[in-house]
Amino acid sequence: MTLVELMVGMVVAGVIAGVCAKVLLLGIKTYNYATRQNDSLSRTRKALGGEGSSMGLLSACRGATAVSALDPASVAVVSGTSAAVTSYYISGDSLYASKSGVVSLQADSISSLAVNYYNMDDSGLIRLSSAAASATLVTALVTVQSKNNTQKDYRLYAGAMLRNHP
Amino acid sequence: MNRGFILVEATISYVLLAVALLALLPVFILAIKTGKGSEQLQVATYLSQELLEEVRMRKWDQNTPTPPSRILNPSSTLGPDGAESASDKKSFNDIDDFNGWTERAVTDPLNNPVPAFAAYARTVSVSYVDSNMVVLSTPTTSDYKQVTVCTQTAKHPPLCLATLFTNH
Repeated sequence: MTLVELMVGMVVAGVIAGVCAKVLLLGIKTYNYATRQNDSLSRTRKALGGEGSSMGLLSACRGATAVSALDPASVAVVSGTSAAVTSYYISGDSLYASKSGVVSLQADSISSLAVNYYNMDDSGLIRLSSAAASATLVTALVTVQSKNNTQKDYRLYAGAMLRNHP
Repeated sequence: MNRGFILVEATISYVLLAVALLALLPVFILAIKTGKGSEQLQVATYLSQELLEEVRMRKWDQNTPTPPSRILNPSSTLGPDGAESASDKKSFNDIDDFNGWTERAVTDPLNNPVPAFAAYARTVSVSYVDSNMVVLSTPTTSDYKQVTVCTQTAKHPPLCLATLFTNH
């Protein structure tokens, strides 16, 4: 083997090794992307639907008979039997649930919660609620923010009717 | 005499290894596409559920009184009635007004766009069904209205949720 052949061989090996490294790196990035996506989506689902014994925001609204306040950034609902107020609010980057003074972490990495309240007016048409007692539909837009600028935000938009609907 | 690899053999083996690894590229691309599809499916489920709740807020039929009670003469036509606008769902006052409703981009209950979901389209269909869930053709009516809400994006098939509303 001459020096030239060796040099050519090393260059070819270097190029091919670079291609192989890119492919393997792509595999790692794909895995990381899938893991982050699953993680973010499960957080948003947990915020809305709950997990196990922890009731999510939507479930709480469906079981509630009234809204106690028309807050666009949190949800406070009253359940029928005990009249206890259950509220969901963002503090820092986490969504917390509070019931009867007991606060529990509902989901973390939740960057925002946008809530709207609706009810039917006397003409039977839908409108934005102006009083908490009249609200019968709650819609919520939950955003899980990416942890760095290269990742996307994940959002879920859902609605729940309260039990006070005629 | 010691045996070894000649340069050509070594180069060929590198090329084969590179080709084998390049064959993995479609697998990674498929993994990302599948993940994207799964994400859109979850979002579509919640969007369909939300529109179902909007439909549920309305009274069962144009002829349903307030407070609601069972009626003997449900409307035989399904769709917007009278002065209701087929392009503005906030003018709908009963469930079957939503029949044929189409949103090319998601809107809130007051028909304002929700920018985060502009890529999702939603449709609603309403039909009378009998007690065996068989769809009845117009003008036959029954005590059951089946509402189906479908949400889809351009690249994925629709995700449909259906429910029954009864005359009460």
